[in-house]
Amino acid sequence: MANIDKENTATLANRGSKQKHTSIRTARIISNTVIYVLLTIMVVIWLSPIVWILLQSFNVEIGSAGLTRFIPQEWGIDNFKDLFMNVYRDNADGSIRYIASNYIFFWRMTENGIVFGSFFTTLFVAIIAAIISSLFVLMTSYAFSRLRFKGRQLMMRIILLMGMFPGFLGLIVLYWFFDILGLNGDHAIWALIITYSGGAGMGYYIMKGFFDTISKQIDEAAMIDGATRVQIFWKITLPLSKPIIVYQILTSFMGPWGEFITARYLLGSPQNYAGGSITTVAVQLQQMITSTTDGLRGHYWGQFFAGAVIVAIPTSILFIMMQRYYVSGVTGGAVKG
Amino acid sequence: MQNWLEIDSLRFHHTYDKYNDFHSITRDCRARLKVYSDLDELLRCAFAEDKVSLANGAQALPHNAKINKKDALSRIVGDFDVSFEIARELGIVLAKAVNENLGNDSAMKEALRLEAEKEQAKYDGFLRANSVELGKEGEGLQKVYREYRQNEEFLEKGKKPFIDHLYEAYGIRRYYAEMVYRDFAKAHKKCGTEEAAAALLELRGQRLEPFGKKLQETPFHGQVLQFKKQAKQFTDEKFATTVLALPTIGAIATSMLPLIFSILIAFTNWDSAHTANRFDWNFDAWGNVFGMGGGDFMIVFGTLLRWTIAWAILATFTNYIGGIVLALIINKKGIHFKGFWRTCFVITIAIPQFITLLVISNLFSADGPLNTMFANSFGWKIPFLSVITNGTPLFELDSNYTFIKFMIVILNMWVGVPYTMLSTSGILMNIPEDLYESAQIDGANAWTRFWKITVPYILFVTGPSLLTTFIGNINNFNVIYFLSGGGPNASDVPELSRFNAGHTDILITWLYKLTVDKTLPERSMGSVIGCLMFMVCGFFSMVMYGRMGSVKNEEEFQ
Repeated sequence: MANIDKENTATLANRGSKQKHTSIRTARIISNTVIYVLLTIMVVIWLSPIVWILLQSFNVEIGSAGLTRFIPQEWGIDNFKDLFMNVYRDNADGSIRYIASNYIFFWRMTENGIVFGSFFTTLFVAIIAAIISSLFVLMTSYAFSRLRFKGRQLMMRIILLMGMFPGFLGLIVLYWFFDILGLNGDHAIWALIITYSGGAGMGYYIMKGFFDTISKQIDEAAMIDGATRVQIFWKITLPLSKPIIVYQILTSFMGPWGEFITARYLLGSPQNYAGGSITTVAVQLQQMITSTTDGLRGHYWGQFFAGAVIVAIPTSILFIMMQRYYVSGVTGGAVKG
Repeated sequence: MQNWLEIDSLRFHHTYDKYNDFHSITRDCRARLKVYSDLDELLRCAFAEDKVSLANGAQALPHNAKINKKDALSRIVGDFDVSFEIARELGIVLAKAVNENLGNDSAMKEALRLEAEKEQAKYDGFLRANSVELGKEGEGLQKVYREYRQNEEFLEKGKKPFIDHLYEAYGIRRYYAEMVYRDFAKAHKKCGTEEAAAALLELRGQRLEPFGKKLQETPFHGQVLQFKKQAKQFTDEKFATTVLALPTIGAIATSMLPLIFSILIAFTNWDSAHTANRFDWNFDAWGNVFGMGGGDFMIVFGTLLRWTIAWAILATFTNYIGGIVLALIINKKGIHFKGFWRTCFVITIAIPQFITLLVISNLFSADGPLNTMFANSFGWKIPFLSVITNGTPLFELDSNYTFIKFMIVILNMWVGVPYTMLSTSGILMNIPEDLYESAQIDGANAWTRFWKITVPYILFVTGPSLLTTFIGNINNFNVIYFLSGGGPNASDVPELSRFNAGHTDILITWLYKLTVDKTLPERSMGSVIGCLMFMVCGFFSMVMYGRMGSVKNEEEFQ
């Protein structure tokens, strides 16, 4: 073996003439340049809608007037002010008037006290649901990936089957369940949390895929040293899985944060937002630009863009901060499969 | 009085002896069963497979080696705290099991388990027979003594009628009945008073009470494991139960039950004409679905199904391939600012889908900034997502609105590609470096390494998620609903417009329109569509699931 290795290195060294070296380098420079150009074009494409949201949120023009342009003509933070004060601007008769809005985004002070709007409702729901569903996913995927038990295949198959049925048909039934349990009206917030987190364990695929790539030899070594399975879970698997757990918490938070159908259906009639009916940002922002019930469809464009920016801020910050967890390798210090 | 009470106690010791015998047998059986309840430990005793030798790497003695009988027995005595007699009996059983199933661990365990079952059955039988018999007798005796007064008249008739009476009325054997007769006669003759009867009754009662009671407590249920040991199992052998309990309950309550109920709704006539409290069980919905309006429904369903499947396939593969390619080029060696490029794309995931989709929909709308720009500079507009009514379109849309459908697929890439890129990046970094190194040593070039290592690895890890993405796309409500809202309106096709469907509606958005958006929802028909969708999805995933390598070779790759 040693001889063959030596021969190979010798021939390689002979072949590696200067000319060949430069041609490889040139090819690499060309291909890298092509990739840089491609990436730049793609980044422009991918970022332009977001830039447009940002630009529009600082657009002072009333209603949908500014929608036809990329760059606003007048700049200001009026949209954010309107959103905060729960008003919209109207200039139908020439002068600008401030009219009470149909929607509460942050909060509104009333004689009965403070009424929280969709932003805080959604934040509360999303945080609680994210915690519960991350735990569920973690437990399920660990069990399916690492443990062998009776009925494992069967459970995986049932979950796969259930995933094929359109989920929101079940919503109709869930709506009754919650109605019977009294989780309607102001308590619907709990119904929402339960719906978001209850079946979370069924979305175990990605995390299981990750667990599958962690070498089993570590587990086995620990087991020989006398560790129980719960110890292996806490002391070995969990520390190695930090990236996927962060990923899971983020996606679990993102789900309820921008979810539409469930909230739209479980929270019921969207007519009474001004009275403080519970609603989420997704439903509210969608209603702002599509609802025709009050004939004011065009009035809320400014608030929509301002709201969109505010809704996107927490998740964007989280994502950029936590990004390294996604992509950092985990097999570094461990035994390699 | 003292005298007969002494005799009396002597006789009762007789009964107690029987009881004690019973108990010693019970104890032995329990000890034996306890040993059987932990087969692994038993085998470990026999083969010296303890932790020390495991840690030393020696898998102890090979299974076909003869058991060192003395060692094994002393281990059994020590580890299980049973008497030597029992250990010896177990040793014989063990040796038999080992000899018959040489070296086959599971067969050996099975043999031992069978033995344990036999033991258990034997014990149960013994217990049943004795507890019934002893219990009945104990109870009978107590009863006789309590009913002293009723038995007096039989007492006067003589010994034999009295014994017969006890046998018939209380089920007491003659042996005991004779003892009772003597007791009674003595009490009757010597004392003959109420007090004597009471004393007699009290004494018997006290002595007999534990007799009956303890028997009832004796029955033995299954394995003898202390609570602590049982609880400990949930952190080790039964850890799966521990971690899966809550997620399973949650999934059953919020997904499975609603699912079953909503399937049941398909077999009712709950529609716009019937309220929630007044519907019947029947197959009307299925009949309507297939025959309603001279088969119009099937035309709608077929049209939408074709587009749904085309959409799901296109959306899944464009995103999958696009995402992998993006991840590969960002992770390529020699590309700088990887973090920056990645962040640019990640931001698009960070913003909730409904916002970006609504905004994109407006960007590309007939009066959006793009089309305004086109109109101002060139005088025409492009019907990206809707028919141009306000201006000159660059080209006319065909009757299938293929261009709009194509645009939806393209715009969907904006949403999906970064997502795939992100998950693939993590997987790419997880590929063990030594796979590449050894391939390189074996002379594989970069292209071969890519096709033989990177691609199979990514496919293995993302395979199952590809299937769920496909199913997810069949049910992808958000993209269609927010981008085109199912439009353009299908007023040109009467079948579609009759059932509220638009040209780019997929089944799920159509379902939403039928069941949620309508003031009088068509619930049972919606359920039927749901069932049909389920069949479609089930068909695709059965085909794909069966072919997927990572499911078949799940254990191999790890």
